[in-house]
Amino acid sequence: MIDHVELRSGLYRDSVALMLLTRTLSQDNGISDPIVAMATTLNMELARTAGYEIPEGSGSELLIAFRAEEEAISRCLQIIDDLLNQSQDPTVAHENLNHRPRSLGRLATDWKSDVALVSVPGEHAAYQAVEAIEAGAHPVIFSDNVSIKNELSLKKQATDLGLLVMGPDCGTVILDGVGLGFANVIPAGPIGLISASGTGAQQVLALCDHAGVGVRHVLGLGGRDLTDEIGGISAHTALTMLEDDPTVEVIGIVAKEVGPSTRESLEDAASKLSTPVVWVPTGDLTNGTDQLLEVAGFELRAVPVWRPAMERPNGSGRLVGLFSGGTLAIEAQAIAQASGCEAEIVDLGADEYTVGRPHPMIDNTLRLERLAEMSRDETVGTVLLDVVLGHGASPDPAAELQSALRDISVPIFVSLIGTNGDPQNFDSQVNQLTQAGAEVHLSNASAARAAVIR
Amino acid sequence: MMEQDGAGLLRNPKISAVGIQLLSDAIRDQGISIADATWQPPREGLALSLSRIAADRRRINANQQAVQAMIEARPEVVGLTTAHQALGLERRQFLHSGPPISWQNASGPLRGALVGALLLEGEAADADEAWRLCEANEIELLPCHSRGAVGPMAGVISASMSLYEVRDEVNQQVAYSNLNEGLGKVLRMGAYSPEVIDRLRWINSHLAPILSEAFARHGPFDVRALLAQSLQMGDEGHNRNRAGSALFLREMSASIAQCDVSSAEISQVFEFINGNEHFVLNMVMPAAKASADAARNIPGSTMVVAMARNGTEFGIQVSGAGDQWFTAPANTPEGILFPGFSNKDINPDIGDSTIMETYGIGGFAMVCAPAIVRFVGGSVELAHQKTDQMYEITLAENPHLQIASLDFRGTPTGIDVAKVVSTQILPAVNTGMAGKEAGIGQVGAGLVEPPMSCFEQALAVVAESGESA
Repeated sequence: MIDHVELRSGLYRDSVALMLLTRTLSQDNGISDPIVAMATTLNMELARTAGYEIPEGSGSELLIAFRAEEEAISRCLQIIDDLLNQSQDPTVAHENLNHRPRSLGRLATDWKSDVALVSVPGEHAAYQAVEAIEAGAHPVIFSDNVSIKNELSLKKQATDLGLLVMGPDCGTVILDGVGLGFANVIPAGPIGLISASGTGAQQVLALCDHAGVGVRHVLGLGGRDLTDEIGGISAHTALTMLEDDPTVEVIGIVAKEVGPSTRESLEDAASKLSTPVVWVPTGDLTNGTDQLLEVAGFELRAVPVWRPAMERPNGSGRLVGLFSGGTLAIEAQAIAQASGCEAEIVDLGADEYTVGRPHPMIDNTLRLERLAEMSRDETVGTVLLDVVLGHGASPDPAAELQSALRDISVPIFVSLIGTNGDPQNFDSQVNQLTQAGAEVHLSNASAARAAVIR
Repeated sequence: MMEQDGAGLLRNPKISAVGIQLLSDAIRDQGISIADATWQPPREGLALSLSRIAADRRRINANQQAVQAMIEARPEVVGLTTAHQALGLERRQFLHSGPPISWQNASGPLRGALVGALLLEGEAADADEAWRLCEANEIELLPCHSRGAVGPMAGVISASMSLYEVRDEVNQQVAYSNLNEGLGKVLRMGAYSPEVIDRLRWINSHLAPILSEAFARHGPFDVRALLAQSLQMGDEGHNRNRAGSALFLREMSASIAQCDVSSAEISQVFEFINGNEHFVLNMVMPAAKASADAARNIPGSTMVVAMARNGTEFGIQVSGAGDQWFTAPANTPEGILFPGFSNKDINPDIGDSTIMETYGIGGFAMVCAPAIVRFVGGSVELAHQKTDQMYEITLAENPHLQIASLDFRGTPTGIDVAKVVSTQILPAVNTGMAGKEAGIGQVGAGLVEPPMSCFEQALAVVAESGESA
């Protein structure tokens, strides 16, 4: 044991605070006879009595004296510095106040948040996200209309600080089972998803749930992350994070748009991981999910189809698809095109339709108008729809659509994207849709194929 | 670069939110607690600046660098000098508080103080002559801040005046201020009657030499340590400096008493300091300035490094925008008036003392000074709320200056113009109130709001600089 004695100037602490600090120190086995006190004549005398050799001071310094093994000195000093500079946990101080912070930055700092969900209008979103980054929280940017330039800068700033930016225009995130935005309820399991396609990820969730395989995380990064303009900045971070999570056994990547050089860099990064990485192509999400499950050691059993309560006569006109999910629309389009079928596939969730009105996953008003038109349009031979369930989605979409579907005389195919745990009650949705005359598929690809064949 | 760490993100994450209530409710429905910010969109047209600021990759680091430099500064009074010696001021050159201003635009108290300073310097035989010299533009006016100085209220510093020299060895900064004259009829409030000039002469001829000798004997006087104590003794360091002044006198008394002058003169010095509860203000102000100056000129930083008023305009300077002033018409303070004055006697906001708020105390540490909450329009609870709000517009908490009643939380430090504009929360400023007419002096003390426009302009300029960076 050796004596460490120093007088620090310019540091004032209240005597009660210092007594408490000294008491905390004396509870540490590596520190003997600690004295941390203002260097008053009395305290200096006390220290001398305790056997310390005390230099002369001006009386206004802070006296630090303790005994410890030589190798432990720096650790002890670190403990003392930490205690001296400890600022009170602001959440404690906050309990007595009604004042709720206006700024996300302050809120995230005071509440020590890990995640900050940003859903303000797009022009304000980048600044809110940077406040989150500044506060050390991973931003989830639900807002759209954030410029590419801002997205790039936010992602670079976050990377420098070890943070992951999810979004902008990020629809679906699941973090350790907690859903943010449009997220299906699914048990935790061995799969971790990286998604640049919200409804694409939801389709994968629906199929995994059907296969009885859980998904612990969905890191939704926004549709542009894997383009070469952004270069997969968040995807790279997400890969590292999922690799480091010991509960993730297989990583799936779902992206509606992937730039060639970004794909190359991600494949390169993935090849260095111990966790297998599976790309789920949005051209056929169902087939992709099958491969993902296979790598995870499971299989996708036959994807269920529920027949309509009454068969309808085959129409002779074109196929019309009215979608709420962008990726699902793209997948249906690809399938229709491949079959050479005359099809008009509309994504009603696209920006041009959502200005000033809620997204069709939340509210079916626009879709109901279109369906009413279909019922009068004799050139329509088949109708294809998606119905997406989960948190954030309409509480009972089948009930909203039911009567409009009944008014249509041609065959109707619905891809019902949901899980058994979803708050809408999956079975009841199936029931209402089939009663209204629709053939219901769990797989969007399968629904599209059925509609095309017709 | 930090290690990418998904630990908090991927295990039982704690969530904050801003925006659509429905999304937060959907998370609450899962049994997860989530905190919502009470965000309101900023004024029309400001989203672009904030959005540019968000894209400026320099900002987060620049602001951390700025605020840490200010926090880690250890300003000390090292001694006394004169404005001529230290700042090269000539006899018809005068420093004033706030952003640059001409005599023509100067308010009553600044004009009065300039007249008094001309009398002190012997440049005019009487007030009328002094006034004529000013009208004829025979004097040169410079902001204190442009010469590394700060002055309370009118802030007039003239060549012969004694100044405290405050040095910070950590950041190698130096700043100056003159000696505080006391309350009531004083030059800094615009009074220039013979008693005012006589007091200034006594300060130069007696007080300054004695203090100078005392500092030489005592050694550098640690101002940050003084503030750390006085904030826990009922001061907020701007409008209340009673504890700080007492602590100063306590620590210096032995050194003052040993000065080689008569005991009557020593006694006069003690009496003067004892009679002036703002005596230490003119030391803590340059200490705050020396600290804030270390944060200047950091490209991309949106931190305020000076707030100051000249009695006509309120101005701020921001680290990432060099020495440019962002100004707007000064508001008139509200508060408690001395007997015999009414609201119409109050001059618009004046003085460099808002350097204290820039440094994170004064109005920002209002909760430290429950004794003066009535001055600033309310209850202890209101003081609590004011301080609490200031954490929303600041970058850090100063671990060296702690607030006892907030369980020793550090003071809210480093005003960020982006946070001010985004939250629309203005810095809380405590202030003295000067009489509108030249020659009247102090009429009260209270609270004042800085104009939002200063912060909006500054934000736009730093945002613009980020575009080309």
